[in-house]
Amino acid sequence: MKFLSDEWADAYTALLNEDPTIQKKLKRFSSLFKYEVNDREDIENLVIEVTKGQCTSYGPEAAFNAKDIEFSMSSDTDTWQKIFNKEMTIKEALSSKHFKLDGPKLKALSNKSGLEKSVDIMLDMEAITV
Amino acid sequence: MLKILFSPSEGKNSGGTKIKKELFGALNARDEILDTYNSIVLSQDEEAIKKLFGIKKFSDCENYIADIYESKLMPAIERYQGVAYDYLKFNKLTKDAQNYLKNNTIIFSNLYGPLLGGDTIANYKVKQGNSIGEIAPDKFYKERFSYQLDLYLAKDDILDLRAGYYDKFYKLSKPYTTLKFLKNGKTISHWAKAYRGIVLREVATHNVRSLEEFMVLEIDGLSVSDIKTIKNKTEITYDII
Repeated sequence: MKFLSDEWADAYTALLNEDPTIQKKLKRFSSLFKYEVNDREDIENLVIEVTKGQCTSYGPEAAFNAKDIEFSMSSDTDTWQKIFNKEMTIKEALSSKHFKLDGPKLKALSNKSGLEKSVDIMLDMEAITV
Repeated sequence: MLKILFSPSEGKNSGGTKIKKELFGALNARDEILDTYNSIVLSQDEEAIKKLFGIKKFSDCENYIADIYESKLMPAIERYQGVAYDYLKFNKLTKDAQNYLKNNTIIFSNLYGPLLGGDTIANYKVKQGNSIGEIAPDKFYKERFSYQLDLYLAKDDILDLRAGYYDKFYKLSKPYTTLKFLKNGKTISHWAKAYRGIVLREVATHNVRSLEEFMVLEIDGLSVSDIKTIKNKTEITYDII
């Protein structure tokens, strides 16, 4: 499955919406997340909207109001692929400076376990290619 | 003929009055996975059952603890409930439309694999993505049913209304059509599911027999905004108006 494709977004949001930890830990959490492969013009940035722990919509960045997008994860093809292949952890990627994670820190910290779970779910998806 | 590939749903209607009949595909092809499911469900191993069902409290599992070979049966198209099935409104369709759905819809169950809408199945619980014992349903069915499905669908037009997850059960090798529903450029999770059900209802109501007939079908609330073909997949994008 291609990272940031409709199929990927459809499958990922369905997994998030079914996960009991996400439902419990993020039940008061709403935000917009942007995902980017920053060295590829052929891959549109994708935004996922979370409303009270439920993914309610997704689509290309252009379909959303830029000021509403709070969190973003951005990296190059090689680093994303290493992360999906489990050759590199997100922590290692962050320290390599090839991976950028932006967003309000206080909001992230106060929802840390739910957000970490959402990343775990993304990384547990099988056969993701960038 | 037009065959429609469709997703199952987590929620299911209980009960059923139908008699057992052979399911889609080769005889006994599902025995291993159904036997494994049944042995876990009847094992009284609370942890294994909770894990299989994806339910935390054992008391919530009790409704699903039953021998699937002895359970009441219902056509798959009526067994499932959920957003898409709510909008399909199967019970309100004419007999002809209901028969159309029973004969031309292929639903990809996490337990039974590919099923015709009219195949009679038990009430069951398998959390999407969970293994059944050591068996991963997606791989199990991909290996056993891909060739059978290729043959079965060889002469048909195909409308793939499945959620992306079910590509893992069967990847189409011949040309097929998928639909995308956008509201102001975004996929809205609820409406994506709802319109899959609405489209299925409309093709059944109008007895749509080919993609050519589908292309001229007007569906209330939808307006075609784009059609693109990449390799064997044609994707029609609708704006929700």
